[in-house]
Amino acid sequence: MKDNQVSLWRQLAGLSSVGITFAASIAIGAAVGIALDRWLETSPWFTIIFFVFGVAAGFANLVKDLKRWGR
Amino acid sequence: MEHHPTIFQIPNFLGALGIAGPWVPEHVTMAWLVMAILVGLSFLATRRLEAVPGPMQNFMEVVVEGFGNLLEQMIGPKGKRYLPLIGTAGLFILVGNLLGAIPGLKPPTANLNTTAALAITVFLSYNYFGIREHGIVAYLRHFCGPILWLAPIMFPIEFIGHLARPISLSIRLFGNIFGEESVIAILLSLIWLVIPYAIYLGVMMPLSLFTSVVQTFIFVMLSMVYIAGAVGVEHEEHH
Repeated sequence: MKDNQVSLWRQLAGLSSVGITFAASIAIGAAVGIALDRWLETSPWFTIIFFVFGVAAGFANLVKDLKRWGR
Repeated sequence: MEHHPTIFQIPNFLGALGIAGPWVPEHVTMAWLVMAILVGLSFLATRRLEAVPGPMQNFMEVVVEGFGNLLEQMIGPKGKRYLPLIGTAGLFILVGNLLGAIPGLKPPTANLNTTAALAITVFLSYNYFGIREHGIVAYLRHFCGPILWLAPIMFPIEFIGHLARPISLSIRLFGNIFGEESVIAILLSLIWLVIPYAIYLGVMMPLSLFTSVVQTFIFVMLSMVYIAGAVGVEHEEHH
């Protein structure tokens, strides 16, 4: 395949994962936090911290993906 | 929506492994069918290797060359190393998706378990490739970001970002194929109204072939992007 075709497909693949990755990051953050709280019985601290981490990871990925593929 | 059984039903001989029910689950049966197809094709293609290839060998050579060239374009001159993983995953997904177009068969990728298995394989592999290329310390240091005191914050963020990748890979493939399968099943259950049949042949059939190929491509492309990112972290940073 030609180079510009490859980069088009690559862009399509990258952009198609932006939305799901954003949602999945938040879900994983919350899940890890809830699991740690259940394990260490420190509710609600780890839930809050990892939820924030999850949202931060979601936005970090969003910015990274859009910078790389959103041109 | 009633349940349409597939043509192939294998009696459950896996009870010892804790799999319940009288039959082997149908996505597993279909996955085995895909494997059988791929093994058969490969066998036919490589049975008599010749310098001037016959039609079968020619076809498989084109397919393998295509994957190899794509890998070299995406990852670099050393990209052919990852051909076994990417090529297998791509061919499995492609043949699996296209099984949905044959009446009586179901794509194995319309089940989250199959796609999750594929995505987790890709996830573990690209992390392994990254560690093999850079060593475990350098690979993990890349997770911590450039500033040292930010590392405790950066590490969980990067880690969660990486964990989100297999989830997005598996859910996208599963969602697309499953949704398309459900629409086709509903259309086919209304087939006595005649119009759904026209919709099925005119719209859903070409659309499902199109999604099959596109989803395969996207899965393969994203796997290559992830491998390229893990193998060449230093170059990727200053883009």
